[in-house]
Amino acid sequence: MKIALNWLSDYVKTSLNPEKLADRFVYTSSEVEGIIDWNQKYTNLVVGKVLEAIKHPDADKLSLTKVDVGNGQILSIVCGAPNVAANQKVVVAQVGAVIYAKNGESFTIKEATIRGQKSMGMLCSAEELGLADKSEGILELPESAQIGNSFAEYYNLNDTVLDLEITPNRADLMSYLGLAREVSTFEKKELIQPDLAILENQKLISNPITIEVDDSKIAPRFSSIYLENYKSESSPIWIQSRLRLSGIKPISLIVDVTNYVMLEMGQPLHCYDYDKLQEKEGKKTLRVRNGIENEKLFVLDNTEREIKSKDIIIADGTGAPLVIAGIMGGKESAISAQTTRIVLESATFSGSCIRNTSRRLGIRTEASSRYEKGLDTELTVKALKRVVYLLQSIQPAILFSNIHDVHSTYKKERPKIHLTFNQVSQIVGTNIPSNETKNILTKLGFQVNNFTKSGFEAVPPTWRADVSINEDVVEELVRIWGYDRIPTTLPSGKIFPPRPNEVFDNAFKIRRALSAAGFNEAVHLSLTSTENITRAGFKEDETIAAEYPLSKEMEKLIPSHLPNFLKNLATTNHQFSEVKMFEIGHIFHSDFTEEQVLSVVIQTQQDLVQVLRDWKSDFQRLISSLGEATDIVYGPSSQPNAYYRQGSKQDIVYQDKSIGQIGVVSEEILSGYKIKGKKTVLFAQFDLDLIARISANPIKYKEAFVFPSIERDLTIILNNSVLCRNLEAYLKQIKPALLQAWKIGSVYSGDGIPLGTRSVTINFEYNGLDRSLTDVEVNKVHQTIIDKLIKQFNLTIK
Amino acid sequence: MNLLEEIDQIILITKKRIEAKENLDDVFYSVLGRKGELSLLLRKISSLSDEDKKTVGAKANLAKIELTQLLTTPEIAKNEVDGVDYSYPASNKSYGSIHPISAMIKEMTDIFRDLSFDVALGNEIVTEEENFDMLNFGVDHPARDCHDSLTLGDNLLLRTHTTAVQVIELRKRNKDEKLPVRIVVPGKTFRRESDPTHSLMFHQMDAVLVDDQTTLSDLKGIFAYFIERLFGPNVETRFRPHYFPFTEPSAELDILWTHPETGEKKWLEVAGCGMIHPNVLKNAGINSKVYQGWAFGMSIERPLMIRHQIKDIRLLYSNSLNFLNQFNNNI
Repeated sequence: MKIALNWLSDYVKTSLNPEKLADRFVYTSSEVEGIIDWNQKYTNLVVGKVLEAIKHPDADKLSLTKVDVGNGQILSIVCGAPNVAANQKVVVAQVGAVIYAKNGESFTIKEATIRGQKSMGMLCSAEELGLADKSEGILELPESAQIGNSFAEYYNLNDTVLDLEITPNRADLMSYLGLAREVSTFEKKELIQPDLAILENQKLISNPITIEVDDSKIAPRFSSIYLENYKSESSPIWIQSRLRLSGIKPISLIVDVTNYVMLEMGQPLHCYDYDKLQEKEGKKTLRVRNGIENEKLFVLDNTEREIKSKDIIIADGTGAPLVIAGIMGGKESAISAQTTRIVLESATFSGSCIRNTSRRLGIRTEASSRYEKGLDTELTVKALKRVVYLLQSIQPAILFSNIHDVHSTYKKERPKIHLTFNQVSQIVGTNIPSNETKNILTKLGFQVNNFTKSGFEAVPPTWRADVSINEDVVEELVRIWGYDRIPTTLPSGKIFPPRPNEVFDNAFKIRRALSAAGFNEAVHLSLTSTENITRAGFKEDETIAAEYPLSKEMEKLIPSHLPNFLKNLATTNHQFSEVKMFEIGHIFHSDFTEEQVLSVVIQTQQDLVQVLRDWKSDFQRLISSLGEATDIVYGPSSQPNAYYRQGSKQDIVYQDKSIGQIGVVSEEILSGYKIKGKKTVLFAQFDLDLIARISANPIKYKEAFVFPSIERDLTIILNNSVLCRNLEAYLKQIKPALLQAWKIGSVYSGDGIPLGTRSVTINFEYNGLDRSLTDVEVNKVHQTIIDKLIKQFNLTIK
Repeated sequence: MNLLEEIDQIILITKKRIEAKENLDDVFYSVLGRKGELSLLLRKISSLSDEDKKTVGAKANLAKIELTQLLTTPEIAKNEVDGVDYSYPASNKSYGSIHPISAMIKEMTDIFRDLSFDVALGNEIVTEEENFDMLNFGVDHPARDCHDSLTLGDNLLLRTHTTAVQVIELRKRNKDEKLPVRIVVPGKTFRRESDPTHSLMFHQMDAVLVDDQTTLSDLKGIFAYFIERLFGPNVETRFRPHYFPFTEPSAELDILWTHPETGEKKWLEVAGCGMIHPNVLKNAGINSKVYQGWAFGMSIERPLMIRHQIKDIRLLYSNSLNFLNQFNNNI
């Protein structure tokens, strides 16, 4: 809501400058989004008089003018407008003035030489002054305009505007009067009500319109007045300028006056051309009803709109829709330059109906944004009387009818809210003095009854439907009294040690372990394109779609972190060949369930076995960081995945339970993403809930060997058909007494190693536990192991 | 012996004398001094044929440069006695990083844990009731328009605020007779908007306290403590009235941020807050005659962007290694 401060001063006299006033608004009721000084906008623009205008000697379409701009200053200005003539009063943009061109860009007037003739400024058109979307020639001012007067002052645009953010609960603040009431409360100043026409004392014509309201729930109150003898013209400059400052474009007298009253009081009004209303049985009727499915109406924005049964429609006597109530009028019944007889509507409609229709049609108007917040039903007649007052002062010839006011049960019982001072301080944490309490509420329009030492009864005004419980009244008190006056304390209640949250806590241990191992944590958007999901091997029906996606790039919820990672590797980080990343977050299944997972991606050009072994080491370290030393086992997974290379998928098993999988992303998927250059991509996914359940048991200290161990290294040439897993299982099976541990070290294949085999080095540790071993003893055991291995796996010793 | 061989000989002998650790100044004098061997040799060049002048002159000059270097840099020679150059720069090892959003969540939740708040988490897909109705958003009330949501059909949507977890969690704790409650709820939230300051997905954290007596003044106290821990002791804060359906009275919390380079001061909104609306407590099954509470919800990205001077929120989800690697202090 934009408010011009000169206009506001009609209702409350504030002593604060615009910045201070804005500050008070921020601290007590509404955020201020901007302070706009229109004087600065129109600097160096003055009223001038054209003394002479002669043809430019070297250009057909240009004129040379001498313009009196006051203070004895006469400027030579080259003008291109065809309508320039001597003795005109015009707006002169002097050197330094800023002109706003149509495209929103501005330019500054400079001294110029145009075809050899000096020009010290510019004569402005209405368009160049921002007074019209389009205009021909320069703007001619009436003879009464004073030479040398600043344009802003002449046009009543020398004002400062505050742009306020009104919260959705405060329909009453969508008006100058509502905002003035706030100022009158926090500044403790008088609120001045605008003048209304006193129809009771006037000679009125009869009102020829019949009003029918089908359901008072959709239109609790419908008031209207009829007028004739209206002559279409522009409204006075002061009205135009006030509208302009408040962000509304002036159109014609009747429209401007209704908009003026809407801004002033918050009540939207609608005008019908009486002569365009269809008659039925000699009567003209306005009927408020629900829409009929598939009804259509051609509205003022020049589109045909389809009507639904939940919309509120104003129809004529024949049943034809005229207006989508509270939103937009129809073209058919709209007033025009020829209109002389007008029906004015001032009604209250159901806020939720209006919001519904406005959202469905995608039309948000000044009227709908007020209706949807819920309007005060007491406003309708007042607003009509205000319109009459203003019109009578401008066109005294207009004749008015009496007001038709249709309502049944619109008057809601106003709540009586009983509040004790104790309750106030129990919410706020401090006392608000009782005299302040009474003043604040009274100024805001509350009735304060039964005021005693301990408490009072507050009845909110009709325009404050948002106030219904104790807490609402406390908010009114504390915001005006001042949030900044509330002391700061710490809660005094019982304190318990915070309970651990295993998933949250372990997720951070995982983040630390993986980042220490060189992995970067990623956070991707949880929505992506369908294309990205299918490219990664997922089916479209495995995903959830947003009903109204913002764009095709963000229409599906991710079924896995893989699509985002692959896209990242292919685009954002394509210049890196070695990438190690992880992500922790929710993924979504087509049955609307979600799962917290840890995903890991490794892109490499190094030897896959080495990279995998490094990963196993990093992951074992991660599991240890959760406080558990159990070994992690990898086994081939039977469940296939569309995105893994055949045979590469491994289950990752912890205490006989699969907690995740790892595998190599297939070449087809990678080539779909154009991930090239001999890059291998490993992808792993873990169920975070399962990892989170790995409990942090205290580590139990194990005694170190008392006597020295003897180590032996053995390098064997192993057939590729024998897996490390087989070797380890066999060693476990035959484990002789003195062998305490073995470690598989370097693995090598290539030059010097027969095709189809690899060389594997194993380190054996022997210890007698309660005695020192001799070489002879160890050699004997070691040889047994060698013999058994040779026999079992048909291998050779290097 | 021709002059070329003579030059080789001088170089060889000089190097041997250096190896034998003769006094370098003496060696210099006898080779490169005014009457030194190489100096005398150089003087002979002028009498040679033009062709020889070129070849011998070039070689003699190179020898002079080499020997001058060997004999005039005794400092380095002394320091390199163990043959290791200790001055090599750091290698380009790559380290991992924790995402700045996660790090900020950790930092914020740690502050609240110090005040005895538990961490609670919830689903990202929620029902209309959980996201709106239970939180006292009226049906078809324009307050819903402030939360342009991503709906999924079947009355489901992606939560527009972490406050959606509030009623679910409070109800659970109330049932388990775990009142009073102090919880923080960090997590992802979603709204239907995208521009440099708004992302379709962003993160929030709610802090909720329900007890038999706690007030706006406690809320201010906790917030002041939190801001001081997060931004340091000299940050000015302000409370101003606002509207949320789920709190009454409601406020927004701003900090006065000073741009570290330009010194420009600006109020920045960091949180919305208020006393929990009695209807919300009722919806959680809590007796609002006995208990009251407050809550505040804040953006995770906002303080992060302020702190690191990140202008486009979407950078936070780009996952470019060039971006992520700048935050390797988070480990």
